[in-house]
Amino acid sequence: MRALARIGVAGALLLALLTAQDAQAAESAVVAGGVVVALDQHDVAATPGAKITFASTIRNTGDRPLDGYVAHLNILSTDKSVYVDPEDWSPKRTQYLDELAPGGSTTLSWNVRAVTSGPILLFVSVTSPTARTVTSSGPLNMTVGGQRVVNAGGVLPLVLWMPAGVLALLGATSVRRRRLR
Amino acid sequence: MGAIEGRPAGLTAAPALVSPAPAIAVHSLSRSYRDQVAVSSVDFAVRPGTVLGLLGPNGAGKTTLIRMLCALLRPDSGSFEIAGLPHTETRRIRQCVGVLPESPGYPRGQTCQEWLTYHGRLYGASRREARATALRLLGEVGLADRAGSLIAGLSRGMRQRLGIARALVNGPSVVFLDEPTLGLDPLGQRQVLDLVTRIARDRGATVALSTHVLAEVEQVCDHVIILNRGRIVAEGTVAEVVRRAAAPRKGVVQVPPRLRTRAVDVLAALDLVADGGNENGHRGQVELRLPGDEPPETSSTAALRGLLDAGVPVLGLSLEGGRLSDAFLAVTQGDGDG
Amino acid sequence: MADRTVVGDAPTLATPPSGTRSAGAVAEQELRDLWLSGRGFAMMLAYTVLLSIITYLVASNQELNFLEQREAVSLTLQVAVAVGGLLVVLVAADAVSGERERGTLESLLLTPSPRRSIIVGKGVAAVSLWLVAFALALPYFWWIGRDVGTFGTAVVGGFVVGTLLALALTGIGLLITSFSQSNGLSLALSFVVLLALYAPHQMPAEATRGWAGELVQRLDPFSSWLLYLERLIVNDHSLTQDASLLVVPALCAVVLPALALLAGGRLSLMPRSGA
Repeated sequence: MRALARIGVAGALLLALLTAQDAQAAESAVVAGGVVVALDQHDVAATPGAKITFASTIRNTGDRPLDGYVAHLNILSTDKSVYVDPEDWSPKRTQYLDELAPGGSTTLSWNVRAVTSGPILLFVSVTSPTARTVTSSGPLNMTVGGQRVVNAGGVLPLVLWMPAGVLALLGATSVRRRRLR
Repeated sequence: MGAIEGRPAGLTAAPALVSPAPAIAVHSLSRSYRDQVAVSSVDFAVRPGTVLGLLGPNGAGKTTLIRMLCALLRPDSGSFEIAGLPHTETRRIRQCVGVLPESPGYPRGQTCQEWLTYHGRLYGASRREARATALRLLGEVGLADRAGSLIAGLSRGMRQRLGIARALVNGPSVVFLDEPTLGLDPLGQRQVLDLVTRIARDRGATVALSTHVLAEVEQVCDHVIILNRGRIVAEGTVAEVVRRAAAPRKGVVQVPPRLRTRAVDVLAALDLVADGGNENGHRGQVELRLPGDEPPETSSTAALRGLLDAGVPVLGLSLEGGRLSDAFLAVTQGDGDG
Repeated sequence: MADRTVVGDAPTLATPPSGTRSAGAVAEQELRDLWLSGRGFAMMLAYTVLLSIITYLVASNQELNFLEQREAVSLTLQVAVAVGGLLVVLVAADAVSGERERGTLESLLLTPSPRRSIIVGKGVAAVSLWLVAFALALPYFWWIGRDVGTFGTAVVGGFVVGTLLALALTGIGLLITSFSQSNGLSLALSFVVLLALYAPHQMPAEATRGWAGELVQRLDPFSSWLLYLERLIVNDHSLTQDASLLVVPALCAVVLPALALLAGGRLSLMPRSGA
């Protein structure tokens, strides 16, 4: 009896293990083979301050529905001398997808504002809730030209004359007080 | 309108009240600060045009009383009328009283004229009227040449006079002066007292003068109220208060030096001498102490008769007047230190 | 010597001044005291020096990118509004407790002017600091923002937000000063309240993302207006796009001065002594 029970427990454990592995394998297969991300633009030129809008289409090419998937916009520069803070370029870079039926697709819109000059690369990544694999789109190459330099002309008169003017008024009140004593 | 000299012309005036109402009428007024009784059931009335002296030791309740009568402080119980106005008409009361608070502060950055003009406007005068009133009052208090000076540059005496001018800016019918001569030299005190007299005489205003300087009260006041521990302990004219307070009076009798000892024994037997008749006095002089509860003539007659019966000739007799200071001490020390 | 008989010597009475008239007189005098004494200009001197330093730092950064330039405009605007508000609180917090300490309050309370008029007049003087500060900041806004086209937006948005804040802070300062025993206490309390209002804005970004963090930011008038200006200038939003963020500041700008006026009606020589 004891031997039979041990065999039964071992069998249950083996079954659970096989089922889990099976599920992971199935999922990996779906993710790896079931999502395609494509952008509607590949190259764009802009100037600092310009707003750009583009779309990404996410298609479920697998045979099981996709639920809880997340899309994220990545922004970087291939020139290491150009500093890119993605938060400055696009405050909303993460979007949560509704359930995608097998064969279905959804289109997401992304808004970006060019902040600094240089070669900028954008792409959209999609991952499942467990984030075991990530699928990315192709690149959107953005060339931002026209370095904006602050026009420093006229700053010294401003920063000096304003306090000087107030100081003169202060002096006038002091003179008035002295005369009244 | 029967204009009272000094009243700003521009202030809208109600028709003159022909009323025998007292200028100040107080009915069982009381006020406490937490557990400390400041004023307790105070009752008195003052006729218009009177100069009232408000006396009392420190903490007697004088300032609290004045603040209530100016509608600055709410009484806990009781009531009062100022110029016929009930105590509930706080704004109208403030409109018709003038006050020099005890130790007032002054804005250092304003000129005398500017400050008085400002306060004139707070009483409802137009800018022009207030400016004219300010200049006139500064002339009256002897600060005409300091009209354009900053208050920060004034001496203490000048500031007190400025404060009195401010108390008159609205042409008040009742004026409260709380310690107006505090911290002033004798000349400053004299100037302020002269002002007080002129306020009452020339303006017909009722003046309530709170002070510790009893000589001032004797000099200028028609009526006196002595407060102690929040209660009225004496009230009346100076003479009435002195008499009622039964303060002992002093006198000096001159006898032949060789008979001085006999004279002291006779007077001591009549209880008319204190401290051995003042051994340090001139030879032959004996200091008398006359009881305050009988006319001085009676006591001095008894002293003379006693000496003559004992064969001591009387070479001279002089009596000192009863002083308010004696009365003050008599009525306040009886209640303990204030 | 004038006759002192009662009949015929009865006093004449004048009508106490209206509240408006009194408020006007107090406001005029307070403005004179603030500006002609030099106190107001001394504060403005420190204020313009600060703005000059910020502007010079911006000018000396030749590599400033587009967003950073907008952020510079936003920073300058926020500093102008915040420091202007701080100066307003300083003056409002001194309004009554300062007079108490200097011994000048009694003379004021002895007049028939309504207590509320006194409070209104002092409030006007406090708000004047903001108006002058804003006017002085206009050249700086123009210079920093001229290349990014934000001057007009900065002026309108800054004026609206700053005025709401100035009114609210005036109300806070006047409320505190009316009940403070000493001027030191009044100023200290006002600063503490100011810091408490500013604290939620300093929360970490993660804390502001949840509904609770967002709620705190919206309910705190200080955080609301800072966020509004940031979105207006940096994110290039329109003036009305984030108008919901100004609801709480607007409410504070109405409620707090109203409370100060209510409390002002019970203004007394010593707080809690009754008048």
